[in-house]
Amino acid sequence: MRPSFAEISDEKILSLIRKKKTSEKGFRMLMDKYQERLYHHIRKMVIEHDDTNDVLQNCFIKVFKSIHNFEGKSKLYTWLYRIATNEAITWINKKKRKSTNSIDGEDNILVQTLRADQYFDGDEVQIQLQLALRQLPEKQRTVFNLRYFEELSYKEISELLDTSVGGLKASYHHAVKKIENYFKEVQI
Amino acid sequence: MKNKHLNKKEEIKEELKGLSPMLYELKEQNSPFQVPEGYFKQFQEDLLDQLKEPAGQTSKGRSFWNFPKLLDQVGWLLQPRMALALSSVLVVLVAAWFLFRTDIAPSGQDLSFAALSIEEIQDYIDNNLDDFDEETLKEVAQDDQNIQMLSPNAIDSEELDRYLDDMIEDIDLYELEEIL
Repeated sequence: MRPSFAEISDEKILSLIRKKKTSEKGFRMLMDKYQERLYHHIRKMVIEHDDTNDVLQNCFIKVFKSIHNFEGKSKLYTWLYRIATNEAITWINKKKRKSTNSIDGEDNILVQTLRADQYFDGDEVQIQLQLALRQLPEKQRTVFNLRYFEELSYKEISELLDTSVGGLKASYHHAVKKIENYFKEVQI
Repeated sequence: MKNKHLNKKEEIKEELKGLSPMLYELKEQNSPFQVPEGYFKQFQEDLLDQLKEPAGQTSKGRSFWNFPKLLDQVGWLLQPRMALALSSVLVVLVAAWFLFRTDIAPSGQDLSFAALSIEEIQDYIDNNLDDFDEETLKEVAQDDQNIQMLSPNAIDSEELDRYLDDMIEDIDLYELEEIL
């Protein structure tokens, strides 16, 4: 029985990628193992599927170009998550710079987009959660996403964002409280 | 390894339950974000195709003139401040073209004198003789051999006498009285 991609070790994948003959095979394995997780991580940050597709593509192109420089000082998935997070933040900031809408205007657009999105299957509470997340400062939102949705340990997030575990705990707790307060205000 | 992973998940849930029961309940729901069917397989193929292409080429199946994407890329130009600046520059350029275009030779037209026939030059001089000042005519006369022949030193006195005799014979008395 062939092992599933989730069971293939990162070391094995990296050794395949590093050999010219097996490079493509290794890269396919890397994508099979991580693309879904990275997709959902990016999707929760940029919301729309088409945007997620673009960011994920940029992310893997960057991975492909720089994987030969990966020294293995951190875990492979930590390195991948870091690239995906940075690409998503870069994309969000670029979109913000282009936008001429006010915060209220942006919220309205988000609500309309989610309601019309055929790939979003959430109710009103899920839409409000997305609006609440938008109120958070960028760092808090990233920490919340990684802990709440991706279920990463503080140690893993610490490696990824280069921040102390204590600082991350404080960020996560603040984020949760702010989201709770938001829901109390909108009374859902 | 699996136990460790489960413990981590449990730990995260317990922490959330203590912090916000409402968010804990919300987390139990399925993710609202759906993915198109067959997306990941297609994504992988498209990306690998793109990576195999030589640098500088656009990817297969993706039009370079993807209008929504193009609009997105130039969207910043349509923002009010940029649009105003852009239109100002355009107005200045158009005004400059109108002001200076008379100095510009129409393309493909040869304006050298070599392209003009003798008749054209003569016609022009006849029609515009009054526009030439005396100094210009003198300068031209000094360079012109034919006109130099008309200077007093260049004419033989006998020839001059003969010319005057002929002229007197042709003039009637009435005209002669007028000249005198």
